[in-house]
Amino acid sequence: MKVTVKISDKEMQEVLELTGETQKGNAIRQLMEEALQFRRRAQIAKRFIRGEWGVELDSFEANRERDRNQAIQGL
Amino acid sequence: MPLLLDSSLWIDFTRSRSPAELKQFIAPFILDPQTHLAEPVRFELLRSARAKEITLLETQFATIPCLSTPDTVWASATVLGQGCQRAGRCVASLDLLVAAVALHHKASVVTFDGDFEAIAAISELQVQRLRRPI
Repeated sequence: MKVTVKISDKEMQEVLELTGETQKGNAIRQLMEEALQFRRRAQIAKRFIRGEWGVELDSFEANRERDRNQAIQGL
Repeated sequence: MPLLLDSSLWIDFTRSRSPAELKQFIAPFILDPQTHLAEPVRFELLRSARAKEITLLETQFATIPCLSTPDTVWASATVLGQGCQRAGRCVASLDLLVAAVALHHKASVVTFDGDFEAIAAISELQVQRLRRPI
């Protein structure tokens, strides 16, 4: 899909500099993808913070302990 | 400098039983634009996850760039492990792998785990050791 967006020359220049892209379309696309990714990250993180999402990972400590014990045996 | 969040932060951030205050403390690191994952961190968390938990973790992980695992990771982790052993410190194998990835990418490891300071003592690893607020 093609979308026309009006931005100033100064803003376009800044977008090119910050993305490191030389083509305007690619630069805008990269900026949009990064912004979208960041907003997704924040949205999902909020679910974990609020407790809407959560995990237990019950065997995490046991797995770590086994790994650590093997390291101790090597000393 | 890229930040590499280790498993200790992810465990406390994603666990249901973690206090809200602790999650709030970790959140700025999760949201930092410089934050990255590494394959050994993904491995350590996902190997302990149940089916439903995998979906939740993968959804969050998909929004965070992952530092590539260099071909030299095993050799580098071996040297780090030997160095720690000579210094009389036992460090879990996975932490050595995480450190090897971080060193390759010149990333700073953000962690609650003191073992990374042991690795930093015998290498150029950058570590940001956090203390839990509660």
